[in-house]
Parts: sequence; structure tokens; C-alpha cells
Amino acid sequence: MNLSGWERAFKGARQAPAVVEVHGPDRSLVDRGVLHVNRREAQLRLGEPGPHEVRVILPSGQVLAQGFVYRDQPVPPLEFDLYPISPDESLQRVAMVQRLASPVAGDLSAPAFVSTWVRLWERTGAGWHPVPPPLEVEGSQWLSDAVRYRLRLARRQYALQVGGPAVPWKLICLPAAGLTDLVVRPAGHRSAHPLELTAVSGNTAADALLGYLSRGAIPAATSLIEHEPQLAELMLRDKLSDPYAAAIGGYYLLRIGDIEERMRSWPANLANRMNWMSDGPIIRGWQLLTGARPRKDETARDRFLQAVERGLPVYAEGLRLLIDGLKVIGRKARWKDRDVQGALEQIGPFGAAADWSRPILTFTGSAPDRPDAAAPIGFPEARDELVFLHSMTVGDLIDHGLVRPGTSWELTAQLTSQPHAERLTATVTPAGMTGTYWEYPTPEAAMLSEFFSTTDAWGMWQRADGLTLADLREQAHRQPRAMPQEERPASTRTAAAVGSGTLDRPIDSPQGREPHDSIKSLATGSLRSEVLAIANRQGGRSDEELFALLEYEWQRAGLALADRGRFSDYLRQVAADIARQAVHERENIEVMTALIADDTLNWAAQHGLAVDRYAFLVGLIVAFTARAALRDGSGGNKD
Amino acid sequence: MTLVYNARRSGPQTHVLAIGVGGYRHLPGYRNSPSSRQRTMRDPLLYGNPKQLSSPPVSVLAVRDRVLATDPGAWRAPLGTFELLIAPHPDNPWPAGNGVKFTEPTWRNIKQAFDRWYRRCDSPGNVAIFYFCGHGLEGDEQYVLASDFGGDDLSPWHNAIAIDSTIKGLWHCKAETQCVFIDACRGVTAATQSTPRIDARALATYSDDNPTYVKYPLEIKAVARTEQAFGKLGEVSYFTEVLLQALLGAAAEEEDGTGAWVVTTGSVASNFYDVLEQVAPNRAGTPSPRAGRPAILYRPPIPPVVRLAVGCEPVAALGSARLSYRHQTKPKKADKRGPASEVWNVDVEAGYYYVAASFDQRDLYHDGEESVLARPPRYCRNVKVF
Repeated sequence: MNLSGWERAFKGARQAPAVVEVHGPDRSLVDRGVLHVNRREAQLRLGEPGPHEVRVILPSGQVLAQGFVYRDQPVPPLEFDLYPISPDESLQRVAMVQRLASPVAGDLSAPAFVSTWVRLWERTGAGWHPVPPPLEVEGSQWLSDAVRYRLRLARRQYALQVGGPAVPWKLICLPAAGLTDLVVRPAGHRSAHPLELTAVSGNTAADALLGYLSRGAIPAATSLIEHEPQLAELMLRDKLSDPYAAAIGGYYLLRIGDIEERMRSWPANLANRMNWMSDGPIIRGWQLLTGARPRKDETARDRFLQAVERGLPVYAEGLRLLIDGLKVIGRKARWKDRDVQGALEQIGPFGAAADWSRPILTFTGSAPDRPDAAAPIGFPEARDELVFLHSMTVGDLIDHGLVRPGTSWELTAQLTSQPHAERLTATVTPAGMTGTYWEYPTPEAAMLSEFFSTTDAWGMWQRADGLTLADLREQAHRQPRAMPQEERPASTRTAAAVGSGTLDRPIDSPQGREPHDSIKSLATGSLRSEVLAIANRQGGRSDEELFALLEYEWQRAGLALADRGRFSDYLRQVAADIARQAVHERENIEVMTALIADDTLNWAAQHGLAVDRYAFLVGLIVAFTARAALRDGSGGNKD
Repeated sequence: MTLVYNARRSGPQTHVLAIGVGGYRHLPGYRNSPSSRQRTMRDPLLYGNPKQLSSPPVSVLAVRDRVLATDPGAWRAPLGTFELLIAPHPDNPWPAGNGVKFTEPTWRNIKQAFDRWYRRCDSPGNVAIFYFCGHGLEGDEQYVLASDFGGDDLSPWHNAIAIDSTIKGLWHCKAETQCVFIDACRGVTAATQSTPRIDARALATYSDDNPTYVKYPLEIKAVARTEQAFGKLGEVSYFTEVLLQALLGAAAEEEDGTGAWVVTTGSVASNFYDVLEQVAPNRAGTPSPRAGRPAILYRPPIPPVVRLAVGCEPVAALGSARLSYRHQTKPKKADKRGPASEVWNVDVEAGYYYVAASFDQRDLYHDGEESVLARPPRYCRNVKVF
């Protein structure tokens, strides 16, 4: 039997294995082996004559199956194809090891993803700093519903971060071992975060093992190890040619409890030799906790502290084990070990911010060393090494240093009815080119785009040197900002920097009421004033109009995520909760509105919305909530 | 009374501890009488403003009813005991019917029930199953809330349970098969973020001085961050429905050597996603099960049901194809359907079938027939007709 995949997707990738099973007439397992994509055939045994089923169990959990009736004659080779598992051929390698969200998950040109940025962080020494992403341009792709980065990374810790005006900042650790593929896609309506990040290393056998392990498919993982020479060599002969594969192998052995016999000393070697990895000391620490003989003065405690000192594990399993291990040590010392306490305080917040449904460590936060479950939204204050993911505005190009205000652009396509001498031109200003739609610089471009059946109006705008906006957009995908900081024009968009979440000055209220200072707040006094002003301007709208506007603005902001259920219900519940709190404390109408504004801003802060960009939206919520509070002072009580 | 089923005898048995917390004494919405000492906790907003829950009592009763409806001998280790604690939602004080009371899952009662359950499980060959449904919070680990959470303003976390630490502590129990199912939100709040060390207690703690016995672990937690992703009000939660279906047959696989249908810790883990797709396809959050070596949990007494989806390749042929299926050894298990534009979905008994597509006119497409082993929860086959 053969397993076929798109050649280019698997070019340069080693192994790309998947476990295959043969079931005979009584349904029992007859044989099990491993297939490799686009490689030599695999041959497995058959059972007695009768119906058979052959299943290729992909690491992602998907199964390709074919049946036949064996009649004691040669069986023609079975052909399996990876085509059905992926929305695009180029994503097959990733889809094979980690199930991608709903095949048609959305378009990256949707308003919610405009101006989404990407930044790669590297850890050197004791700190993290952003670096230009070392993109393999040939292997990287920008599709309408996915971006695939191919990165050539050195042996150190990396984390890739995404964020945007409507995208909570999220980071994924990268298995840096040569070529690494990272795919960014809309996550679909089932996810709490609008984007799905999936990373695979250059070692597909290790990726496959991780896939099986993360789904609990231990028999398949065991078969893979038995049939894959490289993995077997690693497990049994202490070869550490690939530290990421070694780490996954270590987690596998911990999971099946096979500590002493098979692990022997190579976890200690992994921890010692790969001194930039955290996973090695974590695995070794648990090996020691579960009875392995230490070397010299080695202790589990020291190994866990070493892991924290080195940064982050690549795998979510590692984070779980590290936190659990530190707690075991801390509890044993009756919480008097300050180093362990300090380590837990440092690593514990990653637990709250982590997405535990992903096998590779993924978490929200403002930097790799600053996890934050209430993820920031917007742009970082410093835009060092930042590139854009997919769609952007002309203003983004200005801020990126690729376009200077005052340059003139000419529309290269025109309607036949237009005299040749009259060409449409536009001048870039700090406010960006004027136009109704963000993706079409002007209404004329939008019209021409539809006329010429092109979806890329940016390709029709050209400047004197022949470069089009589309060319510059491509540059913004690949290269960090070119212009030095001091030469950048002031951004015309509202400030949206919400970095580390430090407390701003308290919100002042007319009656001197102090805001709840035990809740982190990212709101400023000016935002509060603006929100109140917006709320007070809604008097002319009916209740229905006000709520309809609120629903619209909520959706437009890209906040209608499935995790919040039906968003209209969600908004009503938010208003009811805030109103109940305010009514409880009310003194008079003016105070109630101010109380509602304070409570709404606190709620907004918890959800990363307490920024100028969402001022209008928050103001609408205040207005709606105040009306609800006036109507019903008792509030409600529902799940 | 917490032990709702007791058939304890010597030898390996399956022991279940199930907890459902819908009514929280100190959270907003609890019906406290004026004379009651109970009062709403200070600053519930700090903890995500948790409210009373209608689903957990219904969910845990579903677990009770459907597990106890099985043949106790169908479990690899026969069902021995089932212990149950429920805190009803204030609006529905009798979720199991008028007059049927349950022990309230306060922290103390949970701990006592847990200790009893642990001792019952503490023998080789036993299967330990722990299920919790209620409020949860995510910090450095997951914390679930007992019904009296928030009763002590000076130690607010005192009546929360550190779940990941508890799971590690369970490793010292001699039951080699240990299953932990947590159906609770993993919301993150100001309190979980701002508290340097949450001093919630574990029900059992791990010590490297003591031996561990677990060989066949299974841990599945719901990953929903908010209550809206939980399920419909007053109904069994999505996670619990998926869990029950998986456990009682939808996650069955063929036993090595015999081909008999069995549900193992491994098959529950690896099929959980597929069962979830059937039960709640549009809900957020895919749990990531953690399992070790597989162990058989349950042998369905009858072949499990499979949702068989029959289509054509190419898809365009579907509109003119007559589809049919027939069991390969039970000819009466057969059916057919005339041309239609959508895939044919039909529930069948798991096993080997022939699925076929035939055409009145064969100028465009040829008749096709394929052998399939329909296995749960869902099996799709497009018959090749070109």
C-alpha cells in the first residue's frame, strides 16, 4: 500500500509516517505497520479469506480507510491519498499531524483580521527579544485563508506572536530544529481565539509521535516507535541527534510510566547537553521524582529550577509537568523554599494563559516572558521586527515605513469610457488614502476591481517607480519595518498600545468614588470621559435602535466569538450583570451612570477592551446597561 | 446518603465518585433566608462573577442513571459502587424528583466522600472513576469549586479543589486504572491572575516518598473558558453527553485477538473528538485527553451503533445514485435509498457491510460496491462510481 501527498508539501521533510492497521474478517487486528508519504510501499499481513479493512491512522486523529474482500488471491496495492484531509495541498504536512479547524474556517481578508501582525521572539541569554523572522520565502505562502511560514531557525528558544486590533495577542513556542513550518488560519466559530496557530518541525517522525501522544493514541505511538528506526535509535541507543524528538520521546515514556528501564540516562544527557531547552530538565526532574537514580548531587528540585531558568518548554505537556513538579517540591518543603516559590510565581501564570487543547505550548500574552490570560489587543508600542500577517491598511504601510505621506499614486486600470488622458490619482496622507472600504483605497478602485473581476485592488495602484501597493504589501509580509523610529510619521489611528498591564492612575469619579483597585485596569481617565460622553449621546435612540447598534458594532469589532455563545444573549447578560452591581450601589441617576461606566470599564479591562479603539462600543454598552438598570432595578439571575 | 449503588465484594471492581455542583451557597442568586448565616461572598466579580448553575445536577444524574442502567458485569472490573453528591440549583431543588435529597458537595463532604472512594479503589485491578461537574477556574492549575466556595472572606480559596494536584495524588492509589473527568469551565479571572499562590487544597497529594501504582491513566477536561460553551440551560452538558456516549459504546474499538467491541481508556481518548463532532459540532473548545497505556473499561453487551454516511465519488453522482447497504453476515440488516442530493446518513450496528451505488443509466457513472468495516462513532464512505 502507498500513501500519497502533494510532493511540494513534503519536499525536504523526512519520514512523514503514519500508522496503518489491517483488520480481518472477525474485526480483530491482523497486522500493524507504518506508511511513509510518497515513499516506498508498505506490506502487511492479511488474515483468513473474507472481508478486511485497512486503516491509516494519521497522527491528527483522522483515519483513511479502505475495505476489500480477500479471496485467497493477490490483492492489488491499496492507494491512500492525503487530499481529503486538508483544505489546501500545501497544508497537508501540517494537517497530517494536527487536525486543522473546520476546513473552510474563514478568510484572512475579513475585517476582523485586517492589520494583524506577527513577530518572532528569540531567547538569548536570560532574555527574549524580537528578531526578524528568517523566512524561507520559497516555502512560505500567503493563501486567502491561511498563511504558512517556513522558518529556518537556530537551536535556541523561539516564540512566534500574533496580534492585532481585533486579535488578542497570542504566542506559540516553536520546535526550532532547522526548518519549521508554522500555519496561521482563522480558527472558525468554535474557538475562543480567532486564529489557530499550528507548528511542525522538520522532523516529521517526531511530529507524528507528538500527534499520537496529544490524542492519547498510545498504541499507535508505540507502533511508530517500534517501526521508525530514528525514533527507536533515540529511545534505545541514547542518540540525541534531534533534541525535539528526544523531548517528545521523553514525554511519551513518562506517559506510559516506562521510566527506569527504557529511559536510562539519556534524559540527563538531554538536560545537560541541550542547555537552551527547558524540556530536558523537566523530563529528567520527573524521572528523578519517580525513582530514577540521580547523578552525584542531582535533585529533581534543581532540575525544575533549571527548567524555569532556561525559559519555556516547547510542549504543553512540559508546562503541566513543570508546574506540577514545582508544586510537589514546594509542598514537601511546606512552602518555605523561596526559590521554588519564586519559580512557581514565574511559571504559574503561563498555566492560566495557556491553551491546553494544543500540544505545542500556546498562550496569550504581551511577550514570551509576560503571559496574560486577559490578552492585550492592538499594536505594541514598539514595533520592532513586526511584520503583517495578511491584510492591512494603507495607514499600516505608512507606519511600516514603506510609504511616505505625500507620494502620489496612479490607478493603472481605467474604464473604457474614461478619456485616456484622465487618470485617477490619489495622494497618500497620514490618514491613508480616502475610500469607503479598507481594502480598496478609493471607491473608484473598488468599482474598477469589480469591473475587471480582480479581488486585489491594491495591484492597480502604482507609484512613479512602478511599485504597486500590492508589492509593498508583500514586503510588509516578509520584512520588518524599514524606517527608523524617529522618522516615522505619527500614526493617525487611535493609540492602541496596551503592553504589560501595569496599573494606570485611578479613574476619578464625580463623587470621588474610587474604582475597584484590586482589579487590574487598563483604562485611563480620558477613555472614561469619552465613554461617558458617548453613552450620554445615545438619548435620541430607542431601546431597539440602541441594541441593534450595539450588536452591529460588536460584530464589526470581531468580538462575536463562539465561546461567548449567541452574542446578543451575551451582551444582554453582560449588561444585566453590570446593572445589577450598579443598582445595588446606586444613589441617584447621575451616580448610577457613573457607577455603570466604572463597572463597564472594569469588565472591559478584564476582556481586553478598555482601549480607545473600543470606546464607542463600550459607550454603547454603558448606555444600554443604564437603561436596563433604570427599567429593572432588581436585575436577573440566570446561568 | 451518598452511596447510591453498593455491590462491593472482593476482587477487582469499578468504583465511581460523581459530584455535581449547581447550587453555590455564597454566590449571587442563592436563596438565603433572612435568618440564614449564609451570605453572598464579597467581590464575586473578582472570580468571574460565577452564578448558580442549572446543568451540573442534571448532568451528574445522567451519569448516575446511564451508568447504573448498564449491566454491572459488562464492566471489565464489575461495577462495585457509585457515590454521588449533588448541590441542586436554587430554582430546582429536587432535580431527581420531590423528596429525593442528596448530600451537599461542600468541601468537607467532598473530602470525606473522596477518602471513602479512595479506600474502596485502593487495591490492584480496581478501576477508579472520578467525575466533577460545576464551576472551575484556571490558574497555575485548574481549580474546581465546592458548593461552599466563598464562605470565608479571609481564605476565599479554601473551598476550592486543586484538580491537577489531586490527579497526581491519586497516583498513590493502588487502582491501576484511574479515570478523571472534569466538566468545569476554565475561566481566568482577576483573582486567579493576581493571587501569587492560590492556596486551594488538593484532595490527595503526591509525594515522591511514596510509590505510585497508576498504569492506565485517563484524564479528560472540558476546555471551555466560559459558561456559554458549557451547554444548554438545565440540560446535560455537551462534555458530559459526549463522555457518556463515548464510555458506553460510541468510542468502542475492536479488541486485539478477538475482534470483540471494547471501550478502553485509549479509545475514549482517541475517539473523544469524533464523538464531540457528532454530539455538539458547533460548540467551542476541543478537549485534549491525556491517556497512557490503554486498559479495557467496558464491553458493550450489544454491538455499538455507528452513524454510517454513504456518498459517491464524484459527489455529483449522488443526485442520480441509488444507495444501499447490507450487513455481510446478517442479510436482514440492509436498506436502500433513492437518488437524493445529500449524503445518506443512517444508524447501523457496527460491523462489516457492503455499501453500493447503482444507476439506472450508466453512461456517466458505473455501479460501485465497496466493503466497509463500520465502526463507531461515525463512518463515512464515498463509493467510487467513475
